[in-house]
Amino acid sequence: MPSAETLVRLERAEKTYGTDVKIRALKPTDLEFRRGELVVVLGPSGSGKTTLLNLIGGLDRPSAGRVLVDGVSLGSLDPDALADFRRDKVGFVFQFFNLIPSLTARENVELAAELSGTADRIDPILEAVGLADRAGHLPGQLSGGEQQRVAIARALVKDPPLLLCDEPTGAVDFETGKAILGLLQEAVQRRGKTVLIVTHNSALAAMATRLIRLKDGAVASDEKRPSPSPAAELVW
Amino acid sequence: MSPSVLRRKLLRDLRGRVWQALAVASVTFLGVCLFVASYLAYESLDHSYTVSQERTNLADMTLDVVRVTEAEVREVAALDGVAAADWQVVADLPVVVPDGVDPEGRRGRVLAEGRFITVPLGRQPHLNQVVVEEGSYPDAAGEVLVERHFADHHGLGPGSTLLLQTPAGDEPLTVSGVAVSPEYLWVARSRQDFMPAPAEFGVVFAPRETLAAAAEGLLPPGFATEAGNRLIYSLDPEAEADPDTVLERVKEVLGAANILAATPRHKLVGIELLQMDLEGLRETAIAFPFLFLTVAAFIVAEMMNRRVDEERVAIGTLMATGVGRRAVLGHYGSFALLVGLFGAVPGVAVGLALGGRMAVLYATVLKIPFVTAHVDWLVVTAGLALGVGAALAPGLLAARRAAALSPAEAMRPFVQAGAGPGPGSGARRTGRSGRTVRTGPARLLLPLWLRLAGRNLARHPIRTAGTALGVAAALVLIITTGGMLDSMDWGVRLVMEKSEVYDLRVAWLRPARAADIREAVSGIEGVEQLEVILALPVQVTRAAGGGEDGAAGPGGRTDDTEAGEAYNTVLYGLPAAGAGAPAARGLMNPVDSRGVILEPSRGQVVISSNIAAKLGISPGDEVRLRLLPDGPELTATAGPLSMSLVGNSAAMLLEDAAAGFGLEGCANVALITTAPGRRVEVRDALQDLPGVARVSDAAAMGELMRTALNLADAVLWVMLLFAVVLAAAILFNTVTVSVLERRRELATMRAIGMRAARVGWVVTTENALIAALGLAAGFPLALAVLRFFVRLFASDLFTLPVHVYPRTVAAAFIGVGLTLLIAQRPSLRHVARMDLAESAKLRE
Repeated sequence: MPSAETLVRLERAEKTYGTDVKIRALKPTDLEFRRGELVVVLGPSGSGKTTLLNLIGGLDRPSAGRVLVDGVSLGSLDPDALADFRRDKVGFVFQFFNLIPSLTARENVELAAELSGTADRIDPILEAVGLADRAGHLPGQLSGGEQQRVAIARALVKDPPLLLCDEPTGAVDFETGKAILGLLQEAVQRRGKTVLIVTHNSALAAMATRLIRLKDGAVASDEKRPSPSPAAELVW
Repeated sequence: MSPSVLRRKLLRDLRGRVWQALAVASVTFLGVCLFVASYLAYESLDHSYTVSQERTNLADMTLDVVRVTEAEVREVAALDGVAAADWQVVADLPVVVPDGVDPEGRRGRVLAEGRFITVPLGRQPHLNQVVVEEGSYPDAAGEVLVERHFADHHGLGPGSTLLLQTPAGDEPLTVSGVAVSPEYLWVARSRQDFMPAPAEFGVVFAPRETLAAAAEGLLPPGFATEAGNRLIYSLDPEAEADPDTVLERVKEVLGAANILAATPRHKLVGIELLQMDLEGLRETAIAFPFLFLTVAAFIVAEMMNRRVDEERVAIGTLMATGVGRRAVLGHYGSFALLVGLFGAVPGVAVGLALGGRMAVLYATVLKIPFVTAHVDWLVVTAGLALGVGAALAPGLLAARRAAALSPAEAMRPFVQAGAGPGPGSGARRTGRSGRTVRTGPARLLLPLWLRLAGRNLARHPIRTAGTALGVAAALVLIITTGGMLDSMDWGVRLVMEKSEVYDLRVAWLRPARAADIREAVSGIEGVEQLEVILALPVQVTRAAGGGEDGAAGPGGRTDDTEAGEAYNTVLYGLPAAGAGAPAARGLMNPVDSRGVILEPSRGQVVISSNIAAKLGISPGDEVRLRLLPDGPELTATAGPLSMSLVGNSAAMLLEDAAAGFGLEGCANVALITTAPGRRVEVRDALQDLPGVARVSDAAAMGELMRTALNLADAVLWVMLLFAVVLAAAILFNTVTVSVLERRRELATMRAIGMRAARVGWVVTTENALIAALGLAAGFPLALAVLRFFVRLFASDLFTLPVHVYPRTVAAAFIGVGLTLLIAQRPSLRHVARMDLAESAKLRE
């Protein structure tokens, strides 16, 4: 039985792509993520990191097994219910930010806030990510780090319990990356979010409260880290 | 990368974009096919007309005269520049078809008006020959040839009998054969009445001897034996004489006052009408393919530019690995070339096959005697070139863009698409200026989804403008075609409900005492309202000094149907409103294009606007009216100008017309309304009245008009279908491209929790905004185009009032809107089904 603190639970969840040539991206996996964890999933390309993230985020469905978030099996949800799930439970942070190019930074955040009815959080969140003075700029007028901050603000404004981050520092420089990771760490520590970061950058392991290593679509190791380092102290 | 690899890439690209390529190829196919088929048909028909006129020696010039003698014809024939001359008698006479078919389709005795045209007995005339299609040429007295349309309607053939009605009684005429004449491929009674019902009007070719004997008392003395009322001549091509100079010489021989009208071959009413019809086909052959190929070019431009944008990195990589700019140009150009060829080659093949069939079908309907199939390889080549060019030209422009890319620039890693021009543009990279933008009052007033939709339009101004243009084009096509139909319907309604509101119109061979006519007609049971009027052939000229100075007059407009600055038409003498029998007033009324009835006042003449335009007459000008052929002349003041849907006319008070032409107390036409269900019975009784030349049934006229309307209706639906296809092609392509290039953006929206329906709503809003832009721009343009076309087709033969019903506008707007909704469905389905995990990872 999952504990009350369990937010995400994978039960023999697996993912296979292709019809003629089957590619098993994720082998049958059992995992649980608790509230308030900052989980870093490490692994080389093709290890199944993003697949795991997509299954948890409801962007993809498992070929077999179950993925439960807050006790709800995602496989039982129709497309609209899945959209509602993503609206209420998940915030995504993508490697390439995925901002809407024709909307300003504030409006990108507003788009998510409108969906979840949390418009009053827009300005505080922008303030929190340090973008209050850049709120009126279009993504094309922002640096990569600023764009990623907007993406984090967009994810946080909905106040979801779970943040899923796919290589959040992959497209930004070292200093900017550390600042981004600081924001994510803060989301865990101050806001009690569960943050799941998938990356191939092993330097990020130091900030995790839990470190999972994936290899060839399977969990190679899963360790708790009682004393995570502040993001600002990371080096790579 | 070797060229063979590029070829493989090209084929894979084609496979990957098979639906877009097919959309372009289909539109190109339609455009090329329509162009080749219609233009070849046009050329074949044009050639067939020319051949038919040449093989029958149709005269170059036809002069309606008061009288021309054999001696004068010989004199004309001897003039420099004249190759041959002849005379004819042309007379419209009452003729009974004993076993004919009346306008109701009933068989029995039918009174019709026969246009008798004399021909030599036993031999074809040298000029204006006829083509005998059935039976034989008349070689005995009492025999005649009947024109094909009249014969077909009444079922006449060799051996049938016609009865020419004369004061002395019925003169039997035997039909020796059925013939066609290039002058009467379109059977028109006059420029005022060019759509007579075949039940009521037909052409009869009668040997001079036959007509002289049968129509004695109906024709002036000596007519048909030694003189006629029409001189025809052909020009000597070797003399290369100026036709106008020759005409002047002929006028000297005949005397200018003797000439009522001089009409060159191409202005003979039947030939002019056919030519107008043919011009319509030619314009269609150009206009519609132009539309299709423009759409094809637009789609290719859109598709290729998007493709170049999408493949920037690949293009950069190709160039970095050593592929030359020319190879890149060729690679992308080949794509457009292949797509163009896929459409153009089958288009030419099908167009070639259809062109011949269209010509034959058309020729059969019109009963053209000599049909020549004509394949103009220049047209075929032009079709192929236009089809390929429509795809290749915009394709090459996009290919040039690709070839001009700097490899380093093109391979630059991910750049977030912003509000500037295309991906990766310098403007975007330099745009991080710290300047705050797009946070104006609109943010406070408009919901986010609307702002998002609006900004996406601004992000791609060319695509937005192009799509809006497509919507506007579709609207123009629909409103123009629908407006033409509305204008036609409105014109017919004006005629049937306001201008000519009688059931039957009876014409007497000669003016008679109005009181006698009234007495004879009112005695017929079933007659309800009766109005007796005068309908007289007149020649209209603008009196010297009237109105503006001569420069504004018809100077230089030596209209070919009249001698000098004059126009032959029919003058109606109408009773004054409220005068005489008030109950019988208003069965014929001049109206303007808005349907307002125009009452001529004392001393005033109301003339059709097209006559006024031809002669440069304005209201208030002095107008001279001469009774044809050689009657007296009167002067009146031009009143308000009237609208004539078909033909043209002038109208004045009955007492003015009667007094001016010495016909006091006379009338020659009765307009009648009948009691319900008694029309046919009354018509039969009217045919038996002495002196009656023709009974015209408004119902038959209405039927002809309705038939014409049905044809227009069919054309409208075809055009509407074209418009919908064009709109769908444009919108489908634009929406598809728009969604495809924004997969990542739309996937992100869905990833953050936006339902597919809401994403669809954003896309729909964008398309609706584009449609609104297109409709707003298209509507005034559509009205302007409609006015242009109505004016283009306006002539003294046919004038349409410009009128668009609100229902047409509503249908056009809704139709375009629905097309847009349907066109975006596939891409919205794509949005709903997109692989979010994959799409969110894409680089823009």
